[in-house]
Amino acid sequence: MSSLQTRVGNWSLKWKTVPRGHEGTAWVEAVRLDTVKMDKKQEAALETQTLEVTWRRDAHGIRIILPGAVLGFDLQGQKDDEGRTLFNITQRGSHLQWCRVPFAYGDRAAQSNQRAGVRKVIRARAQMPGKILRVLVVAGQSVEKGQPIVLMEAMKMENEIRALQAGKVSQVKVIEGQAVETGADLVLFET
Amino acid sequence: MIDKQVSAEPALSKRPPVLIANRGEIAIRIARSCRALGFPTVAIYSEADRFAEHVRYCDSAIYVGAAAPKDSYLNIERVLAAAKMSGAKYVHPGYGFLSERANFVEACEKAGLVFVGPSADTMKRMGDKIQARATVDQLGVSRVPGSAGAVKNGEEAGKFAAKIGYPVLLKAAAGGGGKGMRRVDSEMEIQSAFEAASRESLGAFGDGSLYVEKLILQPHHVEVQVFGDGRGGAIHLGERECSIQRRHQKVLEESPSPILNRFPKTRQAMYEAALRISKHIRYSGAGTFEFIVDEDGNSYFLEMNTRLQVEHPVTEWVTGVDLVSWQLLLAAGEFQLPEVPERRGCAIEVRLYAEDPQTFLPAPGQLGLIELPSGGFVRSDTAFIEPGEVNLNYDPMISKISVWAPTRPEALNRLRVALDETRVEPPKRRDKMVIGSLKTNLSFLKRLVRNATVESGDTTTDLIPRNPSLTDPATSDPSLEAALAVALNQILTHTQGHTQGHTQGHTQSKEENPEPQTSTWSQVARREGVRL
Repeated sequence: MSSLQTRVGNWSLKWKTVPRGHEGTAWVEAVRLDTVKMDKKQEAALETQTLEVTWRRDAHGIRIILPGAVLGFDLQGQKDDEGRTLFNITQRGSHLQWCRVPFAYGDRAAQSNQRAGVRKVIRARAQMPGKILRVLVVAGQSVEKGQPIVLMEAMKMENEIRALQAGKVSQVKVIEGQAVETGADLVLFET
Repeated sequence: MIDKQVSAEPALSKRPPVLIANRGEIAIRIARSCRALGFPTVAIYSEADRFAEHVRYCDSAIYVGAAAPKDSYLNIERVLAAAKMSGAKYVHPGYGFLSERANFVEACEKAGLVFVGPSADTMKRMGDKIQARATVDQLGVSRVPGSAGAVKNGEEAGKFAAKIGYPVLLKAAAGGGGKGMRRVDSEMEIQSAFEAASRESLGAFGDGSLYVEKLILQPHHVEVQVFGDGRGGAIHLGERECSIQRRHQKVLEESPSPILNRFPKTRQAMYEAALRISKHIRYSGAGTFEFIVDEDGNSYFLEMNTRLQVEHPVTEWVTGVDLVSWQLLLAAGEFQLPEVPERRGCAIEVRLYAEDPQTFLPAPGQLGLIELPSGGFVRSDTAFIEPGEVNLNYDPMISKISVWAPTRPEALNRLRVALDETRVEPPKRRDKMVIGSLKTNLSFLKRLVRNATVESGDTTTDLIPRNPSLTDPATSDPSLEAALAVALNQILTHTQGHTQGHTQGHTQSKEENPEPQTSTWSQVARREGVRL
């Protein structure tokens, strides 16, 4: 029987049997890894818990049964700019919540797809639907962190979109008067 | 005697219809009281609201125009045409939209309709903030130091600001809800702030005039609910404290006010001032006097809202009064002003919005799931009872959640439970990847009701900037159980439809391409792009 190694946040989870199906039960070995780098000896010293997990998936998340607890989780998956899958997790019926939790197969933390040496493109995006009132930068211009780059009107309020970090404007994707949707690229930068 | 009893029975089916000139939760809330009193209800709706819940809830519904408010809910001509067509006698404006437009009241009267609210004259007098200040000054009610009238330009605003001292606020004379409002800390900023606020005000209210007011630091925002009979009689229904605000809009409201519990004399003075003004102007219907209360218990009149407020459930909880019923009965000429109702216990309301919980920017979109709290002493006012859409043309409020308990700590406990029960999720693909742009402030509200300052009751309008932890992103270090949930979700997504188990060498590309789907949701996602 093959096993399957996964990594969620700081948890290394080794599935003794591969979980399958809408409902089911599986055994898992869980180890909490520290964020600091460890050598083999230190890793071996970590405490491993072996658990029996029963699950049932539903439209918005999953319900799991552990010895002594039945818990439900709402999951919201999303991809970040670097292509990683991150999850926002809410434990149902509680205030417990986690944000941008990375998932990966294998036992190393989720890596970004980005390779070293490639210039990083940063996007300034519209955070809500609205209209562009003014564009305050031009392509080729250098901007400082926090410098206003676009003036936007949304929900009848004027909002300044500012540069999240210093860089050089590579492309301006909008014109004044244009209506934009949430998530639309406004200005692209290179660092 | 018997005859009298029979005639006192409300002629349930014989009442004339009420046109509800609004949408969303308030339209439903008004319709509920109408139904209870036997008034048939007429809804109006825009292009975007064809499938909205308020349309289904009312007895009949009339289309009034395109999605943009100015073409539908704000279009006086079309709203009146709808009233005429439906045979309605009464028009209830709710809050927002046409609720504080004197010209709408006049137009209703001209069309032979009864506007459920104050007269056009009172509305003009109190609705225009500059006129209201003159009335208040005349009656000797203290208000925040500021210009008596509108200032013409940045220069004049600067002169006034120098006189009363910085920081000052520039406020739209016609405004509300923080639109056209700017804080100015020094002379240097006033010119640009004036222009920006004036432009914003002109866009939002069609009137760019501004006035200058001294900014009271660390203020409490407390308002008094009044109800007038239009003949010079008025009673108050206690106060609400609405100090917790983001982007100048209220997010948590409660009654009684914790700051007034420390200054009971101020409370009496505020009731007295509110009633003095209400009686003087012969106010008719439900109205609210907003005050600023400083740390020393001094109160300053801010403005009057000549309508039902968003946060009226808080008052309904502590007084047991159905404010909309009172409004309707007054309009029907069947209302006798009672004694000031006894106020019991404590009520707290929070507003659940479709907005980013960190930046508070609106984030409307499709709803995939909505579950609102229930249980004793819990009330949810909403227009979303099944997955629908928070429309970007309108206010992004999803629900008001309010609770009542005998004491404030108990009410807070109850509210915590209610919020923990609440679930609002965006639509998702089978692998739980989010579709669309919906975000909510639920996580923020859950933190807010656990905040030490909120627990202490010493809340000021700058609570949110002073407590940056309220808007920090949640930790990305999950509990073991949460980690198991995510891992299972991913593995199950990827093993679906496969007969062979997957081994350690699972590739990234597999993760990026979950099994192909052709559901409508995924088509929508492809069209709009899943971006956050």
